[in-house]
Amino acid sequence: MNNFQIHIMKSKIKVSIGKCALLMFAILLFVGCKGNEEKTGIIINMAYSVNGKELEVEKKLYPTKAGHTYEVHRLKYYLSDIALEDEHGNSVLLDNAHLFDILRPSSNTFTFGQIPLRSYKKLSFVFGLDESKCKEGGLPNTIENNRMEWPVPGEKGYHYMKFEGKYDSLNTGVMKNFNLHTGPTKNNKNYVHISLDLPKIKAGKPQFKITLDMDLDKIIHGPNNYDFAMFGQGIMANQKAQAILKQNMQNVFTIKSINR
Amino acid sequence: MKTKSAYWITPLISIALLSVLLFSVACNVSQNRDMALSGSRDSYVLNVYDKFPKVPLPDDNPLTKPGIELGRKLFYDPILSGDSTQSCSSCHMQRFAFGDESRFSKGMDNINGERNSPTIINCAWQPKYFWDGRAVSLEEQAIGPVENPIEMHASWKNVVAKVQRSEIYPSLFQQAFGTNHVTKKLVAKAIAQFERTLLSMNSKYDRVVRGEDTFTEQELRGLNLFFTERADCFHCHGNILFTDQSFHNNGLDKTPQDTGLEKYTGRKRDIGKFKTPTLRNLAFSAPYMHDGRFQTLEEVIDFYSEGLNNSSTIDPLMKNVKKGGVRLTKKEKADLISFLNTLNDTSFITNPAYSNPFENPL
Repeated sequence: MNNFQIHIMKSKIKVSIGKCALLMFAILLFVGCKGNEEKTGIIINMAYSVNGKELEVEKKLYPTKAGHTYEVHRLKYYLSDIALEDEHGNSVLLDNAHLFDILRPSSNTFTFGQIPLRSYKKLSFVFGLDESKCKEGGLPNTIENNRMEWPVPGEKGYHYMKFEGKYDSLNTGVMKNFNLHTGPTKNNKNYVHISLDLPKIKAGKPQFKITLDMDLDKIIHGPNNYDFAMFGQGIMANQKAQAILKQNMQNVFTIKSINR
Repeated sequence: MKTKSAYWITPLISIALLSVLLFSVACNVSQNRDMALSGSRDSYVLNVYDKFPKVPLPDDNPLTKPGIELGRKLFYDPILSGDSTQSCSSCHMQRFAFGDESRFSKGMDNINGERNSPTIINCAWQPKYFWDGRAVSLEEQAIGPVENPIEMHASWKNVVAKVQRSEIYPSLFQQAFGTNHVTKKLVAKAIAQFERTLLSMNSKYDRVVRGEDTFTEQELRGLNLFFTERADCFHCHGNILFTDQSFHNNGLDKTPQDTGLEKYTGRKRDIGKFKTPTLRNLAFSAPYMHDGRFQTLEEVIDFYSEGLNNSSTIDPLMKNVKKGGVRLTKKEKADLISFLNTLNDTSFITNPAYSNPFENPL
């Protein structure tokens, strides 16, 4: 390679560096402009009901179509990949994973920080955790997440849901315990994608609050009838029970109200 | 020959690089300033391996070497009791994983307590203390036993005066807290600091998790029982701490005489609920349960296998109560105990840093 060729190559490299710098400048300018988009706070609130009436924990027996009555003691579950979709189809991720707990009110009303002030048409999330999170160490190492561990050898991850209580077996007065613990079992992932339509209204300031309702009756009945007695009290390794609950979870969540 | 664009691109790149450099320097300055504000040469960091969650430390009682050493002395010093015969370590002995081999510990006046002394293992992560969870911090817990008439039977006023008069303590308080004025609050803070350092994470189980050891076939069978719903231990005793730190009625009694959590909350639904203890160091911490009713691990396993009692407040997690328990075979019981024994950590009960400083000064 002679001096002329080296000179040409140096010039080309300089021009390439220049192009890269221009591109970076443009990106920065674009990001900067996007950063100027007006924003608002977002609050997600979860309410709990059974057949349209507010849930009463450890106080009330609710009927099942299988002929039992049941009372609710505890309910913890993950929603993950929680995102809003605007009217142009752009997705705004609110949270990677959030642990809800009916006995811990602070877990059921929370802010996700600031989102662009746009019109949103959908709220979507995963009930449970996908493969990227449902694995050993897939979630931040917190005491709360550790308590949700699904430690079954070969299937390590996290419970998607721990729904626990007691049921009066065929209304005979004999109270038995139930544990509806869902998660991955026997190579079935069992998490559920859920998408809820919003009425395409523009988010308001200073806060945009969406209240969801989780109807626990739908876990038992919507659309499949889940019979506590049929599946026994421990279902972590029972894919038939897991599949029924997976299908039912599609219908458990609804938009209750939106405050702009 | 340079192109036109090359003439202005070079300074542009230089400005960009300079900006990055300045930003980086600014960040470092900021980090160093934060470290200077929050740390000191006496600060103490708890070293835990990555399976353990971050240790929650109170903002108003950071760990310091002088604070921990002061707490260690106070923990082992009978000066805290009414007649200066009883220390924290009288009921929480290192060789018993900071529990007591007696079913009920005797207090200063030789009167038995009503519950078995709980162990103090990895308590830094616990959100509540005592079997009924009536203390919400280690600092609050440390205050309780001094004035308990069955335990140390003293008054804080007298204890503080005794500590203040002692030859050794005022200067130790000065080193730990920047004042030689002894208070109840500072005594509790020092003891809490020492207790937060009582870490057990070098059992065979931990070594296997870290890839330094392997389980035997029997231990593996026990692990499979433990971490599945066959024996269903893990729902209450799961995760790296081997406790869910919650409160459960595990079916010990049809009608619990000691109502546990209900004594503190007043809620009928809490009758018979007690805090889940860790299963670490079981070999050293007999007897078992809040009232120390079981002397051996075999008795405990038999109870969960066949001996559960139903009641209106039994925990929903005790799903096999109608059958009396999980009905393990003799072989399964032996396998399970084999696994449980992998949770023993001899280094915890022999660690000189946790021992009596009046006998073993470091």
